[in-house]
Amino acid sequence: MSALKCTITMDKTQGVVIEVVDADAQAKQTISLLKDSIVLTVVGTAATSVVTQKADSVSIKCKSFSVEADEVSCKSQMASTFAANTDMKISGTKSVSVDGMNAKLSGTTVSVTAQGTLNAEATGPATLKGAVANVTAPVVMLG
Amino acid sequence: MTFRERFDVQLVLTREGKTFEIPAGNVRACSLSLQRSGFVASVDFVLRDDSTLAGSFKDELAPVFLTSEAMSVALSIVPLRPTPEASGEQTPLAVTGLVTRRELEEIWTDWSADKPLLFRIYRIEFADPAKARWSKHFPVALYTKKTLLAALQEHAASAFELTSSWSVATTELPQLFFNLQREYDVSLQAFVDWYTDQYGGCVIYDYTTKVYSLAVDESSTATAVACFGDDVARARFMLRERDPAQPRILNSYAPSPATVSPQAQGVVSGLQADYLIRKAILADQSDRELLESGRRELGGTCVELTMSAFSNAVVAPGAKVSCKPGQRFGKGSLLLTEDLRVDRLTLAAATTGALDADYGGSSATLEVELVLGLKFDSDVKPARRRTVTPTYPGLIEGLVSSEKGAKTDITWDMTTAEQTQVQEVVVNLPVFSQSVSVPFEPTFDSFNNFRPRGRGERVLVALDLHESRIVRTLSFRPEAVLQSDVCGEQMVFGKTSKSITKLSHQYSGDVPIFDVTRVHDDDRIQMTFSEGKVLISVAEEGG
Repeated sequence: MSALKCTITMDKTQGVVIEVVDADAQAKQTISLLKDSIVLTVVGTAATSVVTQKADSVSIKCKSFSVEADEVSCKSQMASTFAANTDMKISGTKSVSVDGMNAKLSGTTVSVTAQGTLNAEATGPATLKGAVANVTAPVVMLG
Repeated sequence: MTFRERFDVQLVLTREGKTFEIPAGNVRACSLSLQRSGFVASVDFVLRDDSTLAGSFKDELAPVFLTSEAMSVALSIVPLRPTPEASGEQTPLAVTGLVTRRELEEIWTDWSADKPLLFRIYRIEFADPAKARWSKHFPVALYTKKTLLAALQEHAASAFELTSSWSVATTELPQLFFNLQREYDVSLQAFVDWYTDQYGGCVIYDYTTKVYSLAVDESSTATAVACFGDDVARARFMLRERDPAQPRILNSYAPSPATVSPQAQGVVSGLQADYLIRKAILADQSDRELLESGRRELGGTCVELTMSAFSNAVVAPGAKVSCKPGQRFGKGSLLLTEDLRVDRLTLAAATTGALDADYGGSSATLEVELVLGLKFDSDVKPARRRTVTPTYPGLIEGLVSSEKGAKTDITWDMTTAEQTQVQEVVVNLPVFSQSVSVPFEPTFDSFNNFRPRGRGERVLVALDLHESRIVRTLSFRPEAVLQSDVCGEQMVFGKTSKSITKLSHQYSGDVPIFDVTRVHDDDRIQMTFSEGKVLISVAEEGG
């Protein structure tokens, strides 16, 4: 393994930049303490990740982002969005709760499957609507 | 006071192995000034040459006389008629030396219009071999671990013999430097006079054996020759005054300064002879005390006898004469106190006859003025003399030496002198192919800076008689030099270009940039201070 080149630059106009370069691996890690932001950059041959922290935002750009913790709490005062360009999976080994004033589960195909009991209950009117409504069970109880 | 006497004069000139014997009758004049350390003399003689007149005399000397080849002279003079008290034959006064000056005058006749040559009057001045050679010898030479005697013997070569009974001259010296550059006009002869005077010794020339010796005093073991008052016209006594000042050594060595006054007899209160030294070693200070008390002029009485006859008491310096009651001196004369030692002899003799009065004869009648300078036999301490001080120091280029690390590493080194425990640095002096030790001390820096000089550093060394010191550095280390178009300065630390730390302060335009770079092989750490910016980097060059 070749030696790294480590650099600390303190610039009264730019800020502080700490840089570690691995020339052999064509990798460079940078911590930039800039005038109005902190930027963490990791550059490799396959990907680049950037964490940008400003006074009003934190931005993370990377190929793979993972969080592992005993508890994770994400809370916003305003709207929050979780989106995936492919699959998105939300799972829990015990219970999973989705709670909202207006909770909506939509998709081209929506499948609700329970290994045990399935309860769908409303304090107001409940509507089940489809082109064809199939109710299949050994015992069907209505009313 | 002069007297007239007929002398047997033997005069032989030798040039490149060929001898020219000049008959006594041809001698017109001679002068001798003999001292304990040697002599100077001159002789005038005439040679006839009437060969152009078809005569029988031909001057064989003339064709070779006015050439620069060395010429030696042997001159002896003794009266034909021994003094009544002389037992047996009287010993001639004889000297042998080298010619230092020669001239001739041609005497033409006016017998014909051709004015043919008839005589040449020759004059030669000569001196003892050491004086003749060394007064024209201006060596610059460095000796280490050598005695003064051995160093001087090298310069005597085979021309004369030099010995010593003086411990100063036979003690091995760490350094002895002759800085007798020609333009300083201080010859080796003057140096020896100065050195022996400075260190309380003297040079003794033995007129019988022709051997020189460096001696601590002027004592002589010769047997005294009786001197008779009939042969003495006048006796004068002169006091050589004692140095009245109290010698005082002021050692300015700051950690243990000292002012010492060695014991001295007969000093006058309030008079001082101060000597400023800077010696870290107490023994050096003690040596100086001994020197100053030892070389102090103790005074004495000099006797000058103006002779009225060339008696057998007319002997060369170093011999002794005795003036005793019953030898027809004035009753109660101070001469009768003790034996006297001949310290100098001056003789001026000339013929008053016609040019060819005694020509070719075996003797010459000369009008003589003869003075013997004497010292009492117990007065053996050399008198302080007026000498010419050589110029010191001599500035010589040197290269600092170190035994530490690889031969290519720029390391510093320091040795502790065995005898003195003084810390020293060795400097090689290529021009002499020798080394000297200099004090391990800062030259100009404050004591906050420890920047000893490293191996191969080119330095200017000031060589004194017995000590040396570094004056300054003469060249920049290659790694320290900035490009000529760079405005700035740089300091370098480290033993090689691959193990080095540089501190540089350079300008980029008007902006000063301070940089500290530490390099060890490929490892490179750099800290750069520029305008509002600090850069710290750790890297491997070529990695």
